[in-house]
Amino acid sequence: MSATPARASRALLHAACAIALIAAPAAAATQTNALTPTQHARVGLVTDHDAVRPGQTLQVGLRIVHDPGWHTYWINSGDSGLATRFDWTLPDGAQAGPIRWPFPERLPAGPLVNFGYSDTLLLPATLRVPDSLRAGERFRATLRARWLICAETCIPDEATLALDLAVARAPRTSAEAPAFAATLARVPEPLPATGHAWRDATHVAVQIDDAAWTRDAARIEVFPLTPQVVASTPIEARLGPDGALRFRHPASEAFDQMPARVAWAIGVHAPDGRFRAWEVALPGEDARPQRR
Amino acid sequence: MVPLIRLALAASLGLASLAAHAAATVGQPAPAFTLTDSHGKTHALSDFAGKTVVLEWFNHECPFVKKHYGAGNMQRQQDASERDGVVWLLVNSSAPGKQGHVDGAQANAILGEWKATPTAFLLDHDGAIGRAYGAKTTPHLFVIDGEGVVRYAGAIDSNPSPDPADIPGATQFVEAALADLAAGRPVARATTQPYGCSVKY
Repeated sequence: MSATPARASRALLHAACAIALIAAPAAAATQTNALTPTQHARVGLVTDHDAVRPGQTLQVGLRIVHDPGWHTYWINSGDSGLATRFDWTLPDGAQAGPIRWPFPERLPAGPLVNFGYSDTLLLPATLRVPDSLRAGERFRATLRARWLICAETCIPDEATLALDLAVARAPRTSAEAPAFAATLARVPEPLPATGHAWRDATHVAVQIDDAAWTRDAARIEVFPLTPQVVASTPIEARLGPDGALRFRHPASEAFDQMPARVAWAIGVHAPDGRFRAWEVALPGEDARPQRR
Repeated sequence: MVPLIRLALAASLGLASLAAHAAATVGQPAPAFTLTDSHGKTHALSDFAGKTVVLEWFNHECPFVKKHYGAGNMQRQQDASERDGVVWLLVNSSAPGKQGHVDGAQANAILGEWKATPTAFLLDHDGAIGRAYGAKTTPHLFVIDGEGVVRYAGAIDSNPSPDPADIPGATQFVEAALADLAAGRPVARATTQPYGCSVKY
């Protein structure tokens, strides 16, 4: 789910801002801190900078403060649900990256299991400021965020939120920078890895070689980033004496074929409570690989 | 003798694992069912032997269901299927007190209001048939051929969103599966990820 860099005429951008102002005067006026009430959540657009330099990148995020018992979804939503989606309207020369998904939590729904977030969530994306802007001008953009929020029942909702930042010679970080740092520390970091992911009769088996990064874990959590591969029940991974991390898990009921690449989010809880998350992608294979 | 015993053991293990992950699986016989419809009439899957059957899990309060009925996408496909001699059954597995739970009269009122004419609206209030099929979402669709074999399981279309504006650009998976079956071809996209609200068991 990637945000699409979009070009907009100034008129369109102004129109979008006007809509945002009407829909969300508090959020549009101050950007940070103020949250707009939506159905069973309050949302706002926050940035890690108060002032930006032309050509720099910054983090812009959707903060969702869920009502107790309500949740929204990860990029792989599990058995039901739907991932939150960003659509940016950007000035010429600006770019937006995809949502940087923090490590999710498991959300049981009767016999089903979903992957997502409750409480307070920050969903960041990287934006690049156009080179063409000059100090003293404004960097304006609009985010249309759409999400599905569920307790037992589900409500699709959305907000159009305006970004309006000062352009300066020297960038200035915002009071939200620590919140971004804390969130980005929970975004799985791509880790080049070798190993195998293959289908056997009823399960999918995975071997990640040289997984010393899990050695001192008090607990290892594994979530499938690629949908339609494994069931949403908890995955139990073990570090073998040969240093490989392995798990074997029932195939998804919606399993069709082994994708060319199968990606996993792996959270490592250290005994002292520290947490790191990694993203590991392996080639998908239709059968157990031959021993070499 | 040993290979035979091994074979039997493997077969029984296979069955055990199927039971553990109960679900209607493409290429396998569809779980049998007998359910009462919104008019009080009983239907068994075996009643429809020789005919293609579509099962659609349904919850009229789910936004994803409303998307497809509000835009007429489901009604259009139901009508077209029935013209082609395909049986289209709605299944309601919402437990009493849960969202989308309806009795026969309420079900008929919804069908009337939404101008939907499936072959029947089946009441699965204890969720037994939903669980047997592994129905996860509303909508979640299964296509069963005349031999009683599951030929499609998954989403109604390729665009997982609650927005009716996304329907015109989507591939209609069920329609495509029915066309493949009618033409005697293997179903090209036979298993997809269903999307929608969780079934309210």
